[in-house]
Amino acid sequence: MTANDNGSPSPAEALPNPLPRPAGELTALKQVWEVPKGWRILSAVNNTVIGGFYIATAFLFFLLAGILGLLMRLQLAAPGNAFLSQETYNQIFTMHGTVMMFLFAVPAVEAVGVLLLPQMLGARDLPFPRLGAFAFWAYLVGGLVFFSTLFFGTAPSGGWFMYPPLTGTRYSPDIGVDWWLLGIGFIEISAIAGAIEIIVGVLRTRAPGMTLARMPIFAWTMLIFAFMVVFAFPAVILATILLELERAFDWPFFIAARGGDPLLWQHLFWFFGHPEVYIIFLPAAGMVSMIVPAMTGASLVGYRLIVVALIAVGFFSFGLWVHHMFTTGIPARSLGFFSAASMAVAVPSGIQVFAWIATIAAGRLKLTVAALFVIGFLVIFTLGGLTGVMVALVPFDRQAHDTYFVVAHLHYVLFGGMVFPLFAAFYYWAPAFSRRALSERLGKWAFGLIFCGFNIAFLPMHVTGLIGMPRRVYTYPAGMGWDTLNLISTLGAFMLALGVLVFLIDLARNLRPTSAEPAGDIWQANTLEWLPNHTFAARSIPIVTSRDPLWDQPNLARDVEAGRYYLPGTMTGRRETIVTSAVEARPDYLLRLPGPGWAHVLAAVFTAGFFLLLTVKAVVIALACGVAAVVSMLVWMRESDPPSVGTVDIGGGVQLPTYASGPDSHSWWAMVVLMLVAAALYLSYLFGYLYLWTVAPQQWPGRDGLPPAGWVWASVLLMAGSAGGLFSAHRLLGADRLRRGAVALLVTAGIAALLSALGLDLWSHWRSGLRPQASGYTAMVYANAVLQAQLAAAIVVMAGFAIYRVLTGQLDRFRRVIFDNLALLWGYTIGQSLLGLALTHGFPRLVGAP
Amino acid sequence: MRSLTTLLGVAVSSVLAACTDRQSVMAAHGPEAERIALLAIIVFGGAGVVMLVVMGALWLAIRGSAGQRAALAGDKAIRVGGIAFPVITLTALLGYGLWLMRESLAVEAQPALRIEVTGEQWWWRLGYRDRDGNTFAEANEIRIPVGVEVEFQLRSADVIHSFWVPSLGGKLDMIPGRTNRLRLKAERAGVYRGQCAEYCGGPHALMALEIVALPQAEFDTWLSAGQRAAPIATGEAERRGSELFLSAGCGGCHAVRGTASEGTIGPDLSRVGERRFLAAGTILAGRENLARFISDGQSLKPGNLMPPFRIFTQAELDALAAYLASLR
Amino acid sequence: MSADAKAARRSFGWLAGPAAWAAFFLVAYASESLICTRLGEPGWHGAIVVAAASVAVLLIAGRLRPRAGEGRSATLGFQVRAGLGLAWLSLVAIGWTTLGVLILPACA
Repeated sequence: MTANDNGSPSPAEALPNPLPRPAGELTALKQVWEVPKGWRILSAVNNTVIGGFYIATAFLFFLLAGILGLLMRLQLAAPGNAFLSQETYNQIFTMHGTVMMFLFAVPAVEAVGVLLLPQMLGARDLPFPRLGAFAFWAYLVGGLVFFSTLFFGTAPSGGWFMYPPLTGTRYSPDIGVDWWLLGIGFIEISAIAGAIEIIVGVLRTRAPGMTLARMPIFAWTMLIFAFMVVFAFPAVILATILLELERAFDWPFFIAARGGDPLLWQHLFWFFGHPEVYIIFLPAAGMVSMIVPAMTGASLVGYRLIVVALIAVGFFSFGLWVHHMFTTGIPARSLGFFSAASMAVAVPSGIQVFAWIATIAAGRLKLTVAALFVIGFLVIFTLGGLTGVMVALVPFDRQAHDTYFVVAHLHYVLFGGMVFPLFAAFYYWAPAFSRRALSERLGKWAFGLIFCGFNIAFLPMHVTGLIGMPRRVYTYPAGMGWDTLNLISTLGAFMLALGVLVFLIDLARNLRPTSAEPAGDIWQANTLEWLPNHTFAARSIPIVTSRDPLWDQPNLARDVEAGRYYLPGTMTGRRETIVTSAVEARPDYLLRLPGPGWAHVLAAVFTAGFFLLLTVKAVVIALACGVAAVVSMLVWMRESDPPSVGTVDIGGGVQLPTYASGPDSHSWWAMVVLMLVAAALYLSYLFGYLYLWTVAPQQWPGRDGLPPAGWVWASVLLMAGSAGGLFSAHRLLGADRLRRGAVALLVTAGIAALLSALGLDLWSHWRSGLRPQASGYTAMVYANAVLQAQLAAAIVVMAGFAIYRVLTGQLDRFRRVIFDNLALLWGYTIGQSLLGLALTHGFPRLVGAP
Repeated sequence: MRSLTTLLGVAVSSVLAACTDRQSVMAAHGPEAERIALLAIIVFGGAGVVMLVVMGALWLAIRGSAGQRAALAGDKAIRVGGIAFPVITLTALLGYGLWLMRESLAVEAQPALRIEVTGEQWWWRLGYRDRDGNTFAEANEIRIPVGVEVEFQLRSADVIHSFWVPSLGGKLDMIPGRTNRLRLKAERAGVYRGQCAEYCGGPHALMALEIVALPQAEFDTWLSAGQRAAPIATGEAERRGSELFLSAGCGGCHAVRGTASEGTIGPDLSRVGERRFLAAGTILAGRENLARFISDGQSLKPGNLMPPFRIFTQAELDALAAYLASLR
Repeated sequence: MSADAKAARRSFGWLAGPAAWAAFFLVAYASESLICTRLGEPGWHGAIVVAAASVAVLLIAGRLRPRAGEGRSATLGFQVRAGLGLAWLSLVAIGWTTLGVLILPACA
């Protein structure tokens, strides 16, 4: 940490860098940030390029899934309609939900985050550009292949929620479910990669002075979004792993007759699925909180209350999952708890709605297209929130659940709460990235058609549901009173589609993405993304002293563009950004960022290939792809963790180191978040294990059915040895004189001890006659081994890389991030493995018959 | 906003115009459904008021006078409108909702009648027990006595289904490995349609049922006749049909009491001639539809698990249909 | 880092309200599952929930007074006051959850 400790210097004081700037400084900056030309743009990693690709892809999936929705509406326009066959309809409604949730909504908000966050936070790029690009390419390839299964009639047809036993091999022997499990599981991993990058980006790359209390609300929402992804997605990833294990190897996690339970899936799925709604909604609410002040010219009212509301949603939304299981026969009092939590999560929405209204009242709302979409959002989302309170009431939900009332409700919340703000965002932020703004005239037509079409389509569905129409029906009989309402809904859906078409025309006519000369700040907005914008974001990185820097800091845009603030050029001849502290945003060090490359693209393609080929049981080619993916990742990692080049002066006498390790390093933070992901995955597993025990305790063996305690102690001893190896290697690495061979040897021995411990434990269960196919219990014991093996595999690769670095002199007591990361995950794995031993050996001894 | 109100008008009038009470939450004929219908009316009214308040505030924020806007533009407005107001109303609402749940739980200790309902892909297997403790099977059409509490024991034979008859009460899922118990009471004689409410694959859309609530005496007669063997076919066509039924192996899946047909894979047909519908509420009963379903069930209810029997001539089909229709 | 590390630790402190809610909620839900499926003593559950709620409320109440740290830095003050808001919301949520115990019987 150097200089500038007060964090908020007066802007009137001398700015960090004097004018005129040295000749060639800007040219050099432009050169290192240059976007590859022609088809080589595919190798780009910059957030403005990848963010654009990302948004376009997400929007493509919105259109595709929207077309599926129109097909469904055509089928339901009349009773007994034969437009779509039963199986086709079932595939289409499954894909509509799956694609909208997994391939549109989550990637879309993540995409907007990737595009906007660096500019908004005053960073040059996100801290892991290649990871972000990798996540995008994986999503693109995986998503396109997954969607195209529809054209071959092999798409899943079990609903987006994939409830077993319907999705077990017995009732769904076809490959559709496997596409869903492997395809979606894989895309979720890409979403988690994006979330890790967003967390570290928001916490560590904000402009100096942009404290937590001054951070734009959109950044707050993306931060909470990312943390929610980290905790929620592992639950569904675990569920998909278990169901795929059941389908592929007959491990009966969800088969009631063999000690599994179908409800376990529902718990895991909705532990993800309900937060998912808020995962989608929060960033959209964040967009609204950015657009409203800009359109009214008034600072956001109730900033702190909004932050409180967002954090509260982040917590409360994890107490709602049983909300989707009110009709499964869970005891009434438990339902009461979840009903209460569902009410609690409504309060923060109230706070936000009134904060936006207050902000509108504080200024003068300009009725631009962006503002219209925000108003449309407020109307529709409020209605959706009100019906949400209704379905949170258990008795009401027992009637409304799984009817068109819920279809109406969820579209009000998701389309109103997320798609309307997204359209607003397109109109609002287009000028920051496009040479032309979008058309206000076409936009008003689009808004009118979308708003009216949406309400005509979905408002009647409340009634359709209440007069008895269930969801997920491919047809219905005449004479139920549903005919007219359905026809109206279909007409509304096409009106909505027409509005989207007008929007597409507007995009085609006016959107001209550019990283050089965007239209710029046409709204007189307040936040940093409206500074003169380049591929490298702002020319120099401003000192932020307010929540509305462009309003409160006079001449900021001019001075930033002139290069008078920090880091006006490139200090090391590479791409760089300033890493700041998490709370007060004081400059910590200069992070050198990687540029364009192909390794991460190949890694994404091969990883996608691995998962997708596994689905079609092309095991050999899949494994080849898996190896190729690991090799690509190693090639990609070759340039990682460059050595220090001393300190650099970013202006104003601020000397920043060019290297950091330990908790200072951005990489350390990413690793900690990754460990949270692993922990969430394992906690989900722990829940599953204990849950099956409450359901089918008779499966749990007594002392006699378990491997002898001696085996367990042997495993514990080996793990202690592994920990010893880790600790000694850590000590040796810190010594004055580096003994490379010894470090490499200790790492090798430590990893070998860990693998032996895990292998020994697995062998002890196998030896005692336990087979995963026998019951839910035995399957859970082996699932533990699967989870440990997953971590162990990652550690083996990381350890190999660290050893290579040590032996080639690229890892020492200073340049040690590669080792630190290994050590973190290694230590975590030892801990998780010990917990696994305690669970699989200790718990049955505790509860079982003697 | 005008389009909204017009739309609401259209929606409401179309609801009123159509014959909407066949499966409607709002056409309540039992205490549980009535409680929820009342709750629905209360929450709709409340939601309407809240919607007006919020939209009014939004309107004033955009178009109001300086004074009105100043009143809205502060932390205080957020605390009042966004925190205090929802906390108070939601506390009341939650309390009311929980109290209603308690009401639903407070049923008589012993139900007047227990009926086992097992969800199957894609029909409902019913198990009755008569006064003497004899059990017999039925399918798809549930007869209950009026005015008494009936306990439905809900199970599943394959995937998850959900038992839902809106006019009598809320739904409850049928989950493999579990037995869920649902108490319902019909206060008036009548036919109440219900439908599977949990997606169960294939023709989930065509898995309906009817609850026929009969006066107690009528029900007792029907119940006590449950154990009786099916009537001996008398007419010529019926007799031929009964022979065909046996010789073609229909009894491998279906049972007709008192005959050699004892299959339990498909619905029990001992009294199929009494039912109002075939194929779990999919098509109206009657000889013609019976014949069509045997030969071409896959076009009437695509995906159902009974294979099409195209081996019969039209005359044979007619005979089979006549026989089945005579089973009462 | 050092000064900021303290601030970072503080960041977890201001989440005490919702964290206490989460722990309480977990105890309330898990204990009913356990009692209804394994232990078979529905009477205990009410006492457990009320006890857990009291602990959670006491933990949160301890944070309702503005701390000495307020005013030392604008960011810290922001966090403390936001933490206060979170604490109040969490209290409401805990109260609502407890309402379920007061009105509904266990394991029914």
